Amino acid sequence: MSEQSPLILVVDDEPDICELIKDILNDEGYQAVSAANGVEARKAFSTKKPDLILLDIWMPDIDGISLLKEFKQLDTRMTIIMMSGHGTIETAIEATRLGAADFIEKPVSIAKLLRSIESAIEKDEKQVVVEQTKIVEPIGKAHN
Amino acid sequence: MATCKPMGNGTMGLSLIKRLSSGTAPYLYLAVLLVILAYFLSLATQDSSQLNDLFLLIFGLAIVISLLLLALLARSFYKLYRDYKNKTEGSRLTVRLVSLFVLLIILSTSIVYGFSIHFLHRGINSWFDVEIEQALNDALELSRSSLGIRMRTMLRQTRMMSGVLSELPDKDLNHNVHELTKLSGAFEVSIWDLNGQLVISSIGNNSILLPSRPSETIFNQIKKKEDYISLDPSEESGFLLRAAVRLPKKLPAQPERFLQVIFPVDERLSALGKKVHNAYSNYKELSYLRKPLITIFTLTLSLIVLLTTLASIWFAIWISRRIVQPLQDLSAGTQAVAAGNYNMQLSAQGHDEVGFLVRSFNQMTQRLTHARNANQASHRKLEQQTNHLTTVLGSLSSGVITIDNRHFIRSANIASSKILDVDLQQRLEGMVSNLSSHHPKLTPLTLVIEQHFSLKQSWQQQVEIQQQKGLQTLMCHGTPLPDDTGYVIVFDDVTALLQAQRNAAWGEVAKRLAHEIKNPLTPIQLSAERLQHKYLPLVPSDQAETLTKLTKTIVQQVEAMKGMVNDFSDYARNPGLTLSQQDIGELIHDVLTLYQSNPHHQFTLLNSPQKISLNIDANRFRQVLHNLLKNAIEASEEANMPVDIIVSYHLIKQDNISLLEITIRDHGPGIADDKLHSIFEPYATNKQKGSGLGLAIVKKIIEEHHGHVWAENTGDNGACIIIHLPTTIEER
Repeated sequence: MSEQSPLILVVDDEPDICELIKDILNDEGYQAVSAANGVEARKAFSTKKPDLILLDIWMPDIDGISLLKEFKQLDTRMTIIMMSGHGTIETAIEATRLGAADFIEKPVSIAKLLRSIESAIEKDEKQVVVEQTKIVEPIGKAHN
Repeated sequence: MATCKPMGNGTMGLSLIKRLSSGTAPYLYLAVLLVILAYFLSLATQDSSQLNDLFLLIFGLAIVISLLLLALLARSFYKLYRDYKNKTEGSRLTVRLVSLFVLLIILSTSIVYGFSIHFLHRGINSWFDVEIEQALNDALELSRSSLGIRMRTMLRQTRMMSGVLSELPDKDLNHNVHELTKLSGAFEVSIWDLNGQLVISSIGNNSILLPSRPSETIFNQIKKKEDYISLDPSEESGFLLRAAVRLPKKLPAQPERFLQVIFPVDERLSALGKKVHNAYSNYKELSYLRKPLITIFTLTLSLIVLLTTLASIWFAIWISRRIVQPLQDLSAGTQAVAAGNYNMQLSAQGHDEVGFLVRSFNQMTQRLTHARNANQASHRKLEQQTNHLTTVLGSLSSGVITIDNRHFIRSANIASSKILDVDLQQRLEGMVSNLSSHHPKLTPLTLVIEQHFSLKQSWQQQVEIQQQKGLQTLMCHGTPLPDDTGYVIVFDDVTALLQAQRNAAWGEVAKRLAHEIKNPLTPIQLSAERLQHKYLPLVPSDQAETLTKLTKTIVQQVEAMKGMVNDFSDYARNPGLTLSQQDIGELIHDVLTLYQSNPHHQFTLLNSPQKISLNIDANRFRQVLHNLLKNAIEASEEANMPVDIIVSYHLIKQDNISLLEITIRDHGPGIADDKLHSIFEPYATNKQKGSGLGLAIVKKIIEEHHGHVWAENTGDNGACIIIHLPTTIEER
């Protein structure tokens, strides 16, 4: 982490959601940029070098899981939090298996969003691995 | 024993005759007799003088042979006649050949016979020609005249000798006689008296002691005072000339004496004369025999011709049979082949055309056998392929039925019976339409098949059949068989597939719905929270509570909405059922009590006489009833009609299976006919409010319970929803 506040990339096809989250993050002292689709997200990923990515699963040109896979291949240490409007257990498990730091179900409260971002940023990679297992297990148990 | 003996003899004799007359024995006798006849004939022709003696023998022999031949011929003809009458193979041809041969033989032999008789007569007559007779007479005359000359010479010589001897005295006589004998070259000189007393003799040949005594003729002649000369055959060879001359008397008292001189005749002359004499006498004899000779020869010839003719006819029959035999075999062979016996092989004999024909026939049957074997092989192969095909068809999971162009079911594989839950093997060779009369549930399928039959095109159609375990959807493909021989119908049970597709569609619907609802909810909640967070410190404290309250409401409603969407997603995502035994009456009653609050709504529950307990998911089932009741109430209310709903449940029997039937009848506007089948599809509603998923969820849940739900319009007014559930639901 640099002295600068962390840069967060918000990827969502809904401009309202992007703007709102950006505003909230700015208020909280984070830097935030947004991308409306896969192409913009890739561009921002390579040029802006974000510290964290908030990634929507459903986008018009590409699905978030593929993008997650892609980003994780380019930078294994990249912290990515998935957002989804239809949080199924299967998708959550898939995302965390692929290295997502957290899985947020829409609609989300500000408090939950910020908590998730904070905890994700604070964790180093090893902790991320531990976190993944923690997340997977309860979901699996709850719906078995 | 005694009585048996004559019988035994009789049968023995009969068998002997039979044995002698059957087989090759007659031919053997015939051959032997013919050889004997030929021998005698050659004997007879060599020496015609013996003909007379042999004639009877030859004649008898020829008659015996003829009889034998006739018997043989009669036998052959009888056989031929019998064959002809029985229409035995080849008998007609044999008869025709035999008649031709017989005609030919009779014609040719009669011509030859005619000419032979003619030549025979002419030949024998020519032997006794006038010129030959004359020549023979002349030759005889010639030999006689030459002898006459000689005789006269000898007579003169004898007269001279008698003159000489008469001059001599008796005592010199002996000596002179000897001298004369020597001089004259006479064979014998003797002097006799008329009494027959030998006076004196001299013989040239010493071996003979006594002179030959003159015959009475000579004595007579001498007594008549005449000289005698004759040509006599000698005892040894040739002829002798005998001359007798009267000796002149010297004294009258002297007894009469005569001189006999015997001269030898010249050998050659004698031989020639003899030959001529023989020839003449032979000729005379033959001339005498001419008439009987002609008769004998004619008879012999006739006999030989008869024999030849008979033998030829017999031979003709034999040869005809021989010629026809292979044809007969061929005919029999052909008939055998025509009857289907292709293994027929005839014995080929000879290198002629018939032999070639027989070989060709054998070749043909061999080829036929080959062809038949090949045919059988290909038939077997075809059978194997059919078996193979049957096995393949049997192992197919799709049902395959073939129907011929008369609408008869020709074949059906195992899967088809399994899918339709009907033993189609019992319905083979039956009409398609009969199938539906035996199994009414198959009517939709048979209707579709019949409907497409006349089109002669491939078709594909989905058919729904009401099976005991619920509605079954079949995907049917019909393909016309080549040459308009019928149709092959292939069908698959796509119920599960459709279910899966439907589930997938549901999943997709749920996903979209979640996205479309939850996405806008996100900025709403975030905005509300942000509003409160940002502006709470800025508003006066008396209004802060209001702001907090408002934002809290927004957030709560968003949360509620999220919960609803999640619930729906859960339905769509098709989790398993939690089955338990439930009393249906109680369950319906419980749901109905929730609707009792509105006094304008009237509900009637028609209970089943017996208690019905089913293994179902109670929560899902409540959802079903809830959705159906809500749907009925809303439909009536929208049409401003009274809410009067009758719910009934009872057990029914369909196709020998027990079903639970639940009906929910309203008195609303009913359902448009074109919507009757689609109202259970998602978003097919014609109501103003509602998600359009209510009935779809009902259908989904009922199908998850292996049931069937459909809608009907009742006769008066209103609609009726009918649910059929099998009374046993398998655990999934």
